[in-house]
Amino acid sequence: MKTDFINSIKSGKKDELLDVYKRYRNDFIRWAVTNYNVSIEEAKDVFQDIIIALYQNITDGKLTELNCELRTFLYQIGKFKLLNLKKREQHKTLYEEDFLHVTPMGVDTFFDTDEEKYINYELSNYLSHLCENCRTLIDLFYIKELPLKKVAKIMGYKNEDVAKKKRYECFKKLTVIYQKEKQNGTKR
Amino acid sequence: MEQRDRSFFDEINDYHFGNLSAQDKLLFDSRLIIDLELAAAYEEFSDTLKIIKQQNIHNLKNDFQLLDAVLDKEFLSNQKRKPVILYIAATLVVLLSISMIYFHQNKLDNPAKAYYEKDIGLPVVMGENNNIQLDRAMSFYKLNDYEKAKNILTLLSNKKPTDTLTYYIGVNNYELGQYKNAINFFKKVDKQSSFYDKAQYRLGLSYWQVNEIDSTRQVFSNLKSPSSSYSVQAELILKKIK
Repeated sequence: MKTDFINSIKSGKKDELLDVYKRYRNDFIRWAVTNYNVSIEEAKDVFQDIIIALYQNITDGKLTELNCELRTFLYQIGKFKLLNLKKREQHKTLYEEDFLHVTPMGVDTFFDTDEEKYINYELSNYLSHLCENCRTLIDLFYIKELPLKKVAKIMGYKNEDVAKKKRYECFKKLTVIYQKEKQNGTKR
Repeated sequence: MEQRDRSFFDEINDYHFGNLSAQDKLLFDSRLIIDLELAAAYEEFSDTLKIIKQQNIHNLKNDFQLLDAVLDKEFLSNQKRKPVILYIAATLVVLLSISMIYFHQNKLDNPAKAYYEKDIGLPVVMGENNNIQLDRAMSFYKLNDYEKAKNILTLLSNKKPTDTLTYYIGVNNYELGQYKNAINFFKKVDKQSSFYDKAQYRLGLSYWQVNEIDSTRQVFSNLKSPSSSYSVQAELILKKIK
């Protein structure tokens, strides 16, 4: 079950993640508000951060197995985040050794060092400038990380070479859009 | 130029997705250091890939936002329902506690109650009895005002104690549920008194009421003798408390 969940997420099935979000969100908020003296809004943000971090860690291959129930895992990570939130508020030093057993890599590394960048970025919707086909192709290659052969089949291309060519074209278009925006941003 | 770009792009993809052999990977790592064009292409690729990943997270957040609308409603309705649920739960706990106390009380009371019968008291014939105070006490007793009856009987007993007064002070204490006081008075009734059997019977019931089973058994064992007017009840009670 636990491995199934990780495999589903890895293969790009977001529905499983949304199910988890639905199943645990409100209980988590109640628990956080009651036990950690945070506001409902703070608890909501923390829960969303946890689910996103969970997703990123799975898709990046950092999290390959869970050594406890998913709910326990989320609450342990939540506890860590909530304590950090309080720590930031109170400017106090906290030790987190008791959470380190939760994941093989430790909770302290569960949240990316670029986490803030991930969470607070302001992103123009570059992908929306691409055609539907390109968006799907990029999703299949770079989000779901499917092999060329499978992508070619899904997209109805004659062979893998066509898929490779299309991948290049779409990616290039996106790079150009992004670089152009970046330059405009620097000029501004 | 495009051909070169395309070649770089395919190589970078293979490198990124781990499709290169260990040797090719090593070679690619070295080229990244010396081939500036490849390094630039790789940087460009990484930047764009980051954007794709960020866009994906952004989309995920949008999905969460759609769910939030529904989940927030549920959350708020549960929050509102919570005090009502707590109120109902608290009421149930109180009712349950009361019923348990009542049940417990009855459990202690009932066995003895079943064998208790109220003493009819002494006849009150005003004018014929010299002791008006005793008549008053009996009147109060018959009117179930045991507190007043007990007070008058106690005053009389303080002046001149008799077995009659002692017995009826015990009876009034019993009626008031003051079983320990009742025991003290029933015990004092003399063996020669006409109230002795009655006092002993009620003494046994008082012990039963306060759950002193050994004393209860002792008293009713004595009352079991055929000479006692309470022998039948004593037998039954002894069977009950076995």
